[in-house]
Amino acid sequence: MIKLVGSLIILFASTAAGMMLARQYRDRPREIRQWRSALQSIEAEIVYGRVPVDQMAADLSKQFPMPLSKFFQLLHEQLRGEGLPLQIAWSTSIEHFWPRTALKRPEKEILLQFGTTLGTEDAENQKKHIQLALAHLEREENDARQSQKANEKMLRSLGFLAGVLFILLFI
Amino acid sequence: MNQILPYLPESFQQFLHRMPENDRKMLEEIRCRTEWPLELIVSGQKWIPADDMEMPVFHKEQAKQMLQKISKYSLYTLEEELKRGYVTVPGGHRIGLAGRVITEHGHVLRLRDVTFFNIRLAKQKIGAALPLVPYLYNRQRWLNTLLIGAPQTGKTTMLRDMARLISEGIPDRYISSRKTAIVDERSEIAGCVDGVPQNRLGMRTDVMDACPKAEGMMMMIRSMSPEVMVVDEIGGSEDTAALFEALNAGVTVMATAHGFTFDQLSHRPSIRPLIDAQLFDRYVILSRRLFSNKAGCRLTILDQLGRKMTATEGIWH
Repeated sequence: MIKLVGSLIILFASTAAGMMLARQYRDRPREIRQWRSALQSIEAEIVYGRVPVDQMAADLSKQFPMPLSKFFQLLHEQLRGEGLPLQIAWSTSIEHFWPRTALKRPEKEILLQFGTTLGTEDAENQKKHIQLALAHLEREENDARQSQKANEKMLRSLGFLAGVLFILLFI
Repeated sequence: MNQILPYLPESFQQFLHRMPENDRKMLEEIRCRTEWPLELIVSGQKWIPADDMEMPVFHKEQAKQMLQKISKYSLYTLEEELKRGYVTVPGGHRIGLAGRVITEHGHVLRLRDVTFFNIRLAKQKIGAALPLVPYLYNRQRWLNTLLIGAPQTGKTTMLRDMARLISEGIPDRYISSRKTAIVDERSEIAGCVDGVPQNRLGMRTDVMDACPKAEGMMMMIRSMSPEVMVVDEIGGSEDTAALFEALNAGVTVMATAHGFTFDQLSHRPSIRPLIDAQLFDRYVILSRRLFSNKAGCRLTILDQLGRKMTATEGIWH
């Protein structure tokens, strides 16, 4: 009896671990896609609305799902509440927000780089910077999709199979 | 004053805090030039600090930061302002900008490296135009008036208060309120931020902010049916045409123009037809006076033909 319960626990734990690892691969392309639509919204707000960044952050935090909304909420708080300069507020918000996402190093670099250009130029140049960041993100998204294809299913079944292997070994 | 402080570098803020209270109240301009010490204009004159105080120097990095702060870290919101060369900030204060200009086809595209700032503190002087009322209001109507003065004589201050008096009315003197329209090309009269006037202008005032005067006047006549129209600094020939149109449409006009004297103004080709046609019923000449170190101004009122009616003086602070 105890053996059965123990083996079930092992199976559950290893399957869950596999699922969690697989989720990283599944969430990454989705979040990149969200970021891309966020950047497109930013572009529209800048080019057509000339909306200042603090107000834009407040609007976007309501428009987007978690975890992206959290980032814009953080940014808004830092700008309005603490009155930090935009560049500093952007990079600290990215740092605070990072543990919540499935994004990887390259995306972080792209977003940090984009943050240094935001708000420093006229609309025409802002648009160019946004296009550049979008192109970079698109490339990352393709990468992420490929690794999702390669790894997601494998990790999920690997978790389950590893559990089975352990159980067989211990029996 | 407190609305302006956050834009300034830390050292400047501290300096202004240490300034004597009386002088700070009379502060008119804060001028920042890159790599030069701060300059303060108090009561129309350069302010000399006490011996133990040294004016802080304005650095290049601070200039950059100041522009960023003015734009709320969103420089693209200031495109139009960088073309015109000034920004109106909450409180109706105006920040004049100068620096390196980028041109396209010989026209100013925008300012790029902004290195000179002139913060003009807006001070609405409620009641500044009261001494003028007896001369400008006659038989239940306001007379078409042109205010004439050199820069910094208080034309706009006077005009702003006129607009307030017209739209609020003066119940004590049985002067009823009127529908007032302000065409505020340089955002100076109303000091609008996002289209909302920052100055007290009375409840019956409509403002067309940052709109070219000639077009704005026509728009206002067509859309808002004003009884009195208020415009600042007329000068161009389109302005003259629009003024003819407004005056013929039965709208009373209150306007200002740059100039030292009436004669000088009547030689200006764009203003001359207005004077010849006797479109204005009153001319008010403003000249700056100092009364024991207090800013004030002398008002001379001329009638339709440019004959002197009376002169009066007023202390503002």
